[in-house]
Amino acid sequence: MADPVKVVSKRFGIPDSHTLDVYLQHDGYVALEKAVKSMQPAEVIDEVKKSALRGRGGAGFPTGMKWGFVPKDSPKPKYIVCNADESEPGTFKDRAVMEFDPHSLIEGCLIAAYALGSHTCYIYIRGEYGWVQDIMDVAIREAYAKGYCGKNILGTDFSCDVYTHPGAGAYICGEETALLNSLEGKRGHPRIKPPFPAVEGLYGCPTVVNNVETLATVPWIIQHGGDTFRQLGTEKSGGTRLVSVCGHVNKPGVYEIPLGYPMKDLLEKECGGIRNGNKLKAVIPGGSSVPIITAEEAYRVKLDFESIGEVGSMLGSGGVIVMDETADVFESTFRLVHFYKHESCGWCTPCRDGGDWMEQIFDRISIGGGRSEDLDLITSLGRNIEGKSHCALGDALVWPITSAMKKFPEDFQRALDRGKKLLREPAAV
Amino acid sequence: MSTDTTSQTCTITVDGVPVVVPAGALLIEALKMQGIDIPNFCYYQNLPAQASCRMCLVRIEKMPRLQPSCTTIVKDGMAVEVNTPEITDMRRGMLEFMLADHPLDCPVCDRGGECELQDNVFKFGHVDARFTEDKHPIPDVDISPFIYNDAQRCVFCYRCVRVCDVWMDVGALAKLNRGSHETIGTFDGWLDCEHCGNCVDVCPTGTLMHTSYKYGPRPWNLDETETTCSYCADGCRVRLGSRGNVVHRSVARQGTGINEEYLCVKGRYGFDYINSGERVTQPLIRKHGELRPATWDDALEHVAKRLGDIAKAKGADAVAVLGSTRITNEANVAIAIVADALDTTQLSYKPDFDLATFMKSVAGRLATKADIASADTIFVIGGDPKEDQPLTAHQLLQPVLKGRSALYVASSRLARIRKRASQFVHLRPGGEAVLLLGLAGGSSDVSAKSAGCAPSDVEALRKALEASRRLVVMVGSECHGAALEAAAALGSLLGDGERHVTYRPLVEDNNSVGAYDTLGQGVAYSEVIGALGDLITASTPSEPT
Ligand SMILES: Cc1cc2nc3c(=O)[nH]c(=O)nc-3n(C[C@H](O)[C@H](O)[C@H](O)COP(=O)(O)O)c2cc1C
Ligand code: SF4
Ligand code: SF4
Ligand code: SF4
Ligand code: SF4
Ligand code: FES
Repeated sequence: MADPVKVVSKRFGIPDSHTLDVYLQHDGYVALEKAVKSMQPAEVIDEVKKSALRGRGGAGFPTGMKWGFVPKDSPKPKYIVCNADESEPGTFKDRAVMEFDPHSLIEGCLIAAYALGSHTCYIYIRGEYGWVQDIMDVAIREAYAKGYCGKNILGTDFSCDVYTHPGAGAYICGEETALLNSLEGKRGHPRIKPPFPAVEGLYGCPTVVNNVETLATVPWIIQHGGDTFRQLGTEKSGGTRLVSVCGHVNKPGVYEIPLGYPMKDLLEKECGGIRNGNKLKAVIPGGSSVPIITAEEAYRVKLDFESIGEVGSMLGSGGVIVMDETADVFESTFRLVHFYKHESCGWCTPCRDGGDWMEQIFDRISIGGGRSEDLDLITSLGRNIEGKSHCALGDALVWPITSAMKKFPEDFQRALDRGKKLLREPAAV
Repeated sequence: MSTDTTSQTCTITVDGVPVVVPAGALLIEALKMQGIDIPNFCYYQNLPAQASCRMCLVRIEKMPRLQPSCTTIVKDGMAVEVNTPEITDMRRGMLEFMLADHPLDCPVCDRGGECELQDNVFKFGHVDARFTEDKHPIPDVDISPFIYNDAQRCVFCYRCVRVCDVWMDVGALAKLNRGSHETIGTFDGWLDCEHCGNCVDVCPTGTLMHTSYKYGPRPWNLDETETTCSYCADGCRVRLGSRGNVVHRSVARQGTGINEEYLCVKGRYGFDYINSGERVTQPLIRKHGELRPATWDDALEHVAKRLGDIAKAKGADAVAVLGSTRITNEANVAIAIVADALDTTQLSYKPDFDLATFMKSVAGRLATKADIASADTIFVIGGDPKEDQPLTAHQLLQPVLKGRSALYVASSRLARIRKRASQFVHLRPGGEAVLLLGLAGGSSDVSAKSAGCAPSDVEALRKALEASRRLVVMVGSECHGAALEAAAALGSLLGDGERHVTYRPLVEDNNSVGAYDTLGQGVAYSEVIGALGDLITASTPSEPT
């Protein structure tokens, strides 16, 4: 295969790529100019629909379709909200976009605003990403100074403001409606859907919430055409996307791959193989919320929405967590259970109380208190959480557990047997 | 499945059985009308939707996930499953989660017997307890002299929070912390609020509770008496729970009165006087400087004799008879009969509000609950509904909070509802009359100067009132004389424009209007008291001769 085309990461690695000058030298704001000067808003939406771009935040919802849901005739103001809360364990690609190519995000926001008749964009940035917000703020100031933001952009009558807003450290505020609550200054609880944000979002007005990478991909699509983008990937999963690889590989990092790219190639070519020549044991292919897959599955799966679905997992947020033979999947799952329990917003019964119970069971097993009936209990509790919670965090708590129990039963059995071992040991002294 | 041609109803199937339900109804309500009770905690009529407890989930055809019936609107042809193994398991699961960290101290919980958690577990719960981990105990704390919080019993339905936000517009309760550490609590740990106790009443569990009822008699041992609150003119229906001769609590849950389930602090907690040892509960006659219990026969005979003696010595008008704004019409009529029998013209009562002037001047009918609910503009002059008529304040706030009506307040008191007012004019005490003059088209400069506000205030208020189409004027007890006359006729004083104006006198006592109706034609109270003044001060406690 020829060197894959770079879309979102094409400016990564260029010195001072975060500055407006360098951005302008590399196609910067060309797409914005094309959109506002030579395209109708509806044409912009059509181009995005053609690209088959699917949201990069986790759910993979077709972006053009989402934009199409915004009512054209609403008298209310419309908002573009960029979800830069990136808090999913194993996911750190949006940070790379904002650190190395902040203007591409600004440009993407502005094109979205133009397409949807919005005049205000908010970029909601994860609280722990303080320095990233600083980079974004500097870039936004530069864009204002050169007339890419603010009143009468590029001399047209399109005006749009862009603001950043920091989160306060809650994972749940990455869920789009909790994010909107948080942005409004309220407690970060997910809202009841419907109404969906496209109809009733920020301050009750039509709002599009998109992930950083989703928006940062838009300028390339407008510049080169939706079809060109789609052809970079597979029929159903258009284009390229970023993946952030962490764990037991030799070269962890953020890579751009065309959709449909083999996981094996990603691990072996891009990431330089498994550390210390160890054997691969497991991969979590799309951020901590998605089901874990075995080495065998990882080696045959392709990185597109359909292929990953066939092995019972998801592309999610593109966070690839790699574990070699030294990893204990019971322990790694326990870590995640602790994370989700800690991040449960407390709104709904199954996630709030079920998560706490689940963690206590894992905790007990980990210190040798496992009981033979625990696996059935965990499965049963999982059934009572999955699909019953108010938002997807409840499901995200359960999927890693049930998939890990199914695919790595020996690790769970070993954990359950820890107590027996502890009991035997003193006798041997 | 046929679409009903009237489109007032639609047909859904419940577990395969077609039923006709009102179009646009909430599924949970539609099912209730069919006699199918869906267990719920967070759902509560008249409160914003919540969908957090997940108790009411049902299976709806074509939906990938179970759906909360408390937020689903029925649609023609909708196929719903409510009684399947899946739903039964789900309900058990939710209750099991709620009980996981629950203290299970039902034997000492004052909600025991009328606890929705208990009831639902009884109906839908697990038999065996699978939770064997550690609980997170939280001690109960007094959050005010009236209310305590036993946080570990909470099921996080947030009814309390919403009631305080929406019914009361106080916002004193909040969710604290996150996830499994979440509790319902207050800012600063102390309840800074109106102490209406409505949050306690709607709480489905024993979490928020009345301090005055702590470790009181079990609910099922209480005698419950439906009665009317005796404080203000709103006349809320309350249910007093008593055992023997002691009143233990006052509630309005499942209320049938005009107040629905609302009570204010007075109706809720102002009952301890009933149990007071200082109350006179039997006739007493003073003998040798000391009050001694007597029989009713002796007492009546004694009073009749003394009154007869006085009338004989000083004329019938030397005896004055006073009714009250705090007793029933029947009692006031009986008092009038006594006066008649004594042949005295000195029959009166002490009014809390000059209804005589108000009724003479009033230029429209009195505002009903429906008028308040459908008004586009509500104007309060010289009063504070939250103090004078708390239920009225609650009723008028509902459309205001929903943005359906605009509130204007002009008062020398810092009326609490002013924070929701589109405009609040803080008057100099006694400034009501001049303000009204300004509103009626007089010079706003002159009006503002004497009323203690800015001319622009007067003009803005006048403009707003003139723009109204359905106006309710609430006249407070700070309006006297000319102010009262003008306020009661404001509709006819305002500039041109078709508008429907109704009036509400903010009388303070529970039967002011009844006393006015039954005794209002009598002698003015001041005259009676004036004439009797020296007699009263001169007289010493009577000794039977
Ligand atoms: C618990 C939870 C956390 C989430 N966190 C993020 C996040 O950090 N960043 C993100 O872009 N989307 C996150 N999402 C997904 C968003 O709700 C939403 O689907 C996404 O922002 C839409 O953008 P997209 O269509 O461009 O992917 C999260 C969802 C859930 C349920
Ligand atoms: S699933 Fe968890 S995070 Fe989502 S609303 Fe419920 S408690 Fe909150
Ligand atoms: S007593 Fe009334 S005002 Fe106080 S917290 Fe409860 S609902 Fe709110
Ligand atoms: S205190 Fe009572 S009303 Fe409030 S959330 Fe808890 S259970 Fe519900
Ligand atoms: S509003 Fe009036 S009638 Fe109702 S409880 Fe309060 S004092 Fe009693
Ligand atoms: S009653 Fe519907 S979710 Fe609580």
